[in-house]
Amino acid sequence: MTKDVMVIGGGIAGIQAALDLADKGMIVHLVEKTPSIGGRMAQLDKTFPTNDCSICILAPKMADCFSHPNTNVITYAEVVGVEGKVGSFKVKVLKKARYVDETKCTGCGECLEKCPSKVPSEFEMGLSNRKAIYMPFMQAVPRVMTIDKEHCTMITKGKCGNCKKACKREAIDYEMKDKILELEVGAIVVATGFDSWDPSSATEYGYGRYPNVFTALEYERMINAAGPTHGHIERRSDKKRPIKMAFIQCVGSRNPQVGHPYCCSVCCMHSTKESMLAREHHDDMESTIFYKDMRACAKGFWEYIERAKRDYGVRYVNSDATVQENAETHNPIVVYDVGGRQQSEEFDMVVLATTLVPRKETLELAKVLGLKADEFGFLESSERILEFGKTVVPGIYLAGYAAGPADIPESVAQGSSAAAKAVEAIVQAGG
Amino acid sequence: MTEQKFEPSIVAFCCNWCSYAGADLAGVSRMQYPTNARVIRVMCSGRIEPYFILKSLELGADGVLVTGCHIGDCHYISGNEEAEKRMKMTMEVLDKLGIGRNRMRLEWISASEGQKFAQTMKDFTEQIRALGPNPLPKQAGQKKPDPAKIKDVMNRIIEDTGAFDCVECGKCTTVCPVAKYNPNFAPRTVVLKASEGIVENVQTNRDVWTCVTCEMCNSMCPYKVDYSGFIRGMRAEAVKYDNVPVCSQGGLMQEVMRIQADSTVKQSRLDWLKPDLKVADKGEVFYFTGCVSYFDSIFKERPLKLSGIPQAVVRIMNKAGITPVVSNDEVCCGHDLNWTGDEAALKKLMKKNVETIKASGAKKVVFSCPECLRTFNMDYQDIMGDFDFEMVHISELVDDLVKEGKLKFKKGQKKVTFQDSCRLGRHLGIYDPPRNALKAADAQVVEMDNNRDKALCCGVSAWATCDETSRKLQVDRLKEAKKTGAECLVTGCYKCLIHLSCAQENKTQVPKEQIDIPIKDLSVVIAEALE
Repeated sequence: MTKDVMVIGGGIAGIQAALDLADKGMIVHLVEKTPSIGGRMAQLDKTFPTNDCSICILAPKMADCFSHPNTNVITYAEVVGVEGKVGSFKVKVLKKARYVDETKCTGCGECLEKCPSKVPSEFEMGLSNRKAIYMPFMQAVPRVMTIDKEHCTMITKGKCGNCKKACKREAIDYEMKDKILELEVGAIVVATGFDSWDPSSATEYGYGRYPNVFTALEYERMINAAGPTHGHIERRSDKKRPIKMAFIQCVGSRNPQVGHPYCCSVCCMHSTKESMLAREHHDDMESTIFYKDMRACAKGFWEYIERAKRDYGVRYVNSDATVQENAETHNPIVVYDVGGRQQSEEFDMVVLATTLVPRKETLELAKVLGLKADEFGFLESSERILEFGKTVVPGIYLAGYAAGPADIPESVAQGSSAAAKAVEAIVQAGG
Repeated sequence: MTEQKFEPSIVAFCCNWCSYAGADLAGVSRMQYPTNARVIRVMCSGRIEPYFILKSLELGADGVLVTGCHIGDCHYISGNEEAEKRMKMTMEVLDKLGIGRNRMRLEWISASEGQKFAQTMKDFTEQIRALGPNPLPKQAGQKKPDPAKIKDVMNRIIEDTGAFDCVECGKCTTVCPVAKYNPNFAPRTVVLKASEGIVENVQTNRDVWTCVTCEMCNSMCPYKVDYSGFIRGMRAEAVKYDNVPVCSQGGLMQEVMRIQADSTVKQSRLDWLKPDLKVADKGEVFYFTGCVSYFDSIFKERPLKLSGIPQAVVRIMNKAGITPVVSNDEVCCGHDLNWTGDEAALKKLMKKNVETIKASGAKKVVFSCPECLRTFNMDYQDIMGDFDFEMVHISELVDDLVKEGKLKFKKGQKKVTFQDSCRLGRHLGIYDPPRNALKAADAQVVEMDNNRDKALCCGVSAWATCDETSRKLQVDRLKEAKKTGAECLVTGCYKCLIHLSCAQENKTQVPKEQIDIPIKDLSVVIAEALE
């Protein structure tokens, strides 16, 4: 019997669950796949419906979570095996070699300047490059570097070694090996989050083909002051600032044809937010949102949309849309439907509210944990109404987008709820 | 019992200026001639469409006489010259259908030739009398449907096609090629009106004929509403109320196909077979040619060389050691009739074709026409259940033969672009085999802006509604093809070839140099590249 709890996934739902558990006096092992906790929320510029700066409200929680005496944050690691049952799960965690000693690295960044390789940054949605040794973003927690072994020439070809020379703390160790950690925990919270769906297969939107078509997450990075363009909205074709913006909703969502019949539950709101932000950046920005249905159901959401219309001049058009391009100017042309008549209008930039899908690794994890996933890859709760988050395996609970479409406040609430249930399970198991 | 003496009934078309006046002269001069003919006056012999001849025969005429001014005397300069070309073509079609060119005659009779008119009438009546009655079965009068039942029919169509799932998002409108140029048309409004219960308009609604059934909407609809199925269902209903399409070639195509459905006489549709091509009566592989032989006759005046397509297909198969079965008993697949609302004809044709294929003992049927393949694969199997023979498009066969190493091609890089026809692509999902086949034939395939499931339409389907929208679509497509810099636009469908080159041969709004790219059929390109 153990009172330890494992949280898988270091996004906002996982962080909230870990903090709640730690505050309750449990020892929490937070396993995060990427080099830093923070998840998708860290990539967002602002949050709806309050337009709070996303990283500003998230970073303190990340720091708390890392420095809490009861937490053990294991980043760059994956759960590869689970045995046992509630009260005593034996979990195997693969701690991937980051080739940097976490105890020595201070995140000073001197190695970055010396590293010669360039790799598209995952955090910046490929809009800018990082080095092979990197910290995903400024506020990363833990604040240590990681070497990406696929792109480091020292590891792949045995040539370079610049970062080791630059590091005054001697934190770099090219010989580091992956490790398997064996942990015993009483309960597990799964909060593995989502990926943004790649819309290039839906060629009617022209993503990947027309340079000035962006995904919402790309736009979020672009409009973020710490992002690749330092907060300037730039067209891919000519680096000019757009004036007429189009936001297309439900790209891949509510679409059984492409396999996602569900509503992503956030794009009505985030596109509204993004169009407001455009106007906040520049007075002359004109945004149009093409939507199927406006699903602004939570508290304050409809008022938020009303505010966008009234104060920010956002135009809402009730139609799905597809994109063509003016080949000379690379201006996207949005084709839409008004009362059964085809209309087309030229814009400077199009932002696609792509649907959000469970991370593809979630299915493998579900197998390891013995959980059920639905046809879309979301982990299934055994009880959807009154005990959301409870799974078919006693002692394992779900939170956040991995359990189904949810926005930030919902994910946070689910994180707390899963934490409470985990404690309950441990107490009942006699821990 | 006494046998009734056969009295031919003849339809005689007379032009207003010469022949009708000639008939008048015969009359006022009290010349005697048989009373078997019913004279129909038209302004010019150029007005007489081949369709009129076939329709007359279908409706029970035993012979058709066409008369006009002598060449050089036409009151509209060249109407009779056009008539001559058309009637020549019609005779060829009649020969192929097995009805025979003897059942019609073209004569030039001037206003002063009363004698010639009377003589022609006598001769032609005797000619028809000798031929005997028209071999086509007599048409039973169609029962008028009950308008009160439209609602039930429409409800069934709505249910079958998932039309209630429409959420009115408008995505179909945004991709619809017709909606691009015709602001009054959108797939969703057709469906919407019906699901709101406004169904009486099936009797008058022209939108059902405006659709080109390219299935762009189907492929885009998030909720998988089967718009084209809906349109087809509505068409079947609409024709019952005489809400019929304005067909290309004046409806000749449909008539040729309908006659094939009803007729029991032997056709002669294998005139394209050259002596060097090896074919069989029985065997493993059946080559279903489709109506290409008829199209060849009908479009003889145009530089399409359609008979080259089946020749190329057989040549490819022979090269790979296959001796295909080709049959003179094959009939039209019924695609165009089915898509213009005649399901009954589809079923008749289906029965004939399936019997022919079964009799050949074939295990695999190869199609060079995607419409035939679609009709066999989807419509026939929907009605009859799964067939025990395999059905493939020629591109799939070539792709397989290349993989098995049975086909060898000459070297010589050609740059080509491929037109995904709607039936082959969106209806059947065959995108890669034609490209693979072209690549195997050492062609470099460059893609147009809109390709694969987004390919633009050739403008017309099922020979229904060829209008200015069709022309704009054709020009759009040709411009895209020209822009790729390819030497040649390759199509996998007879219809794409016929329709797209029609735009090139006729007047268009855009300069010719923007659209003048040679168009070739896939099989022909492949056969040309054979070693």
